[in-house]
Amino acid sequence: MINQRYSMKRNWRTLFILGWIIMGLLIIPTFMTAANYSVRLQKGKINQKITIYDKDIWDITVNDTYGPEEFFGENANITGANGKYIVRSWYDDEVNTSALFLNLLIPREKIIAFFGPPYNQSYIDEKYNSTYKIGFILISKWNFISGAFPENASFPNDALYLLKNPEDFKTLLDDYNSFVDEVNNDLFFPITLSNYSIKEFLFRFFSIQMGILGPIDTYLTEMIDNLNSDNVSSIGNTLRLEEKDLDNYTIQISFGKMGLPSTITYLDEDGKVFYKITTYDTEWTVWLTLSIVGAAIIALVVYAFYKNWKRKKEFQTSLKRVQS
Amino acid sequence: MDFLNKLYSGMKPIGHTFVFELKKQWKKFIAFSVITVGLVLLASWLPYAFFPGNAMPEIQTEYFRTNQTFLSFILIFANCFFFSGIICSEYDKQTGFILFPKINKYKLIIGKYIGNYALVMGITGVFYFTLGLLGLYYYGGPLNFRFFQSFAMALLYILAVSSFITFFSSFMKKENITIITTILILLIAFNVITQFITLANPDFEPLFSLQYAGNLMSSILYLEFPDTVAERYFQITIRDFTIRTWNTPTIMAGISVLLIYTFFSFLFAAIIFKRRQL
Repeated sequence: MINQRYSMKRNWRTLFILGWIIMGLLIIPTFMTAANYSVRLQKGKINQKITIYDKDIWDITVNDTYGPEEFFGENANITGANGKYIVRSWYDDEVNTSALFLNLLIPREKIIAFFGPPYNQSYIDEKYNSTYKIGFILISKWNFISGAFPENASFPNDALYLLKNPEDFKTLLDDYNSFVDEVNNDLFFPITLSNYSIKEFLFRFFSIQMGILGPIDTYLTEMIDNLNSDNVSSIGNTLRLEEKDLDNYTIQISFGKMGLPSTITYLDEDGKVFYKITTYDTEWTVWLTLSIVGAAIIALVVYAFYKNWKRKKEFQTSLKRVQS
Repeated sequence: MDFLNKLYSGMKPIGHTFVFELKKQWKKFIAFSVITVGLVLLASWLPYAFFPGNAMPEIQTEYFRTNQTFLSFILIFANCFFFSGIICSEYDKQTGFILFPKINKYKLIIGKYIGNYALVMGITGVFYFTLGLLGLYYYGGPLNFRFFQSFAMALLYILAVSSFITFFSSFMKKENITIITTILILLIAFNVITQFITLANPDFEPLFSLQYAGNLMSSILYLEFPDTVAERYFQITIRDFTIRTWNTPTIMAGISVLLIYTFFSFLFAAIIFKRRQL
């Protein structure tokens, strides 16, 4: 009797400990991650294709001096051209303002002027002392091309960024624009920079340089609410950029399940699409091959079992015949 | 017509032995295939899937090249397990007394050899198939032609290694001892000798080593195969002492070494087998 009671007590204790472990491992992290944004990346290729390019409308609505290659790289003005990039690795980091200014915002052709004084890294970090939690994604990238891809990537070690906190977009934009004003007002500094409007700023980021975290719709909503602009809106996983006073076209950027841009669409005033980049999946070929091979193996095993069963049956029949 | 009939009846025992060998060794084949798939996933998928910071190579061929770590191990072990008993088991278990009067002993060995070669080829195929699928998954198609060249080199490598083991099987008494001896030679002895020789004379390229020739399986995947001698080795000089590691032979030299090994191993195996008494 005492033993039974002791054993029951021990069982309850074990159940209690197990319960705590399950709570700790499964339930608590679920609550914790629900409040945060998470990286939803997966390593591997992302194929892109230019599905629509109407040059006439582009010239009228966007600019007649340059085409989409200005934003999306070589051959981005050829309908049917394919591009791709491989997501190779990613890691979390915390960086100062200068890292984002220099890597993402200051135009490449002017960047050398900011390596030395007066507006160098240490100056920027001292003046704009925010820190940003980022995700750094290493990719190898192939430019758009009409035929087969060359073996070597056009940019073997390119990078994409993630801003972990959607509120950081506002801080970064405000800091950058005040930095630009400061630089432009300095008569002794030979370089001038351009201010970014919210649309330009987000387009620069999401056209080629940046992804977002999941849940995507919540992240976009928080980012837009924080930026507080009429020119930027989101519906579900799609970001809508326009400048109602200046432009007569709209850019829509849709994000895929990994948080990287999956479709970039330019629409004119009438809502007609005149430029579109889409991403597509070729993973199905791998799964199809695997399924075929798997099915073949299963068929082979079933056949072997059937043959074995038939042989045993025949043997038993002949054994019975001999015995009778 | 007569000639064809004679040829057919001459080939028939080889065919029968071949089929018998496939039936006999299929469990070993399945076991090796499962291990191979496991090792490929372990080396080429797991580290990338579970460690986001572990960067994948830039391009598909580099992915294939850097993920061939286990290939030579798998091939050496598979060859040793499949070919070690090819001749000696007939003497050890004295099955030759039953078989040799009924079937020409050379035809028996040829049938066994082809059967085992087909199975090891299958294991190599499983390795390349799994790696190829992963390459397609991560980098997309099509598969680079160098991948198929690497597969061809692997087939040549197993031809050389299997003939080398067949040679050992021709004079050794027991299958187990043959397995241990050949594994020791192929995995350790070649490397140790290579190390000693290159330490004594760094300019000496270890073309005698099957392992070194087998490096072609991965080095053929280089986008630009090293042209000059200096590009084919890596060396460190500390004071006056040079430590040199040879990475790969030239394609022609590698293929020649593998073919020479194959030819002489078969030749010596045939001579010994001819003279060996039951």
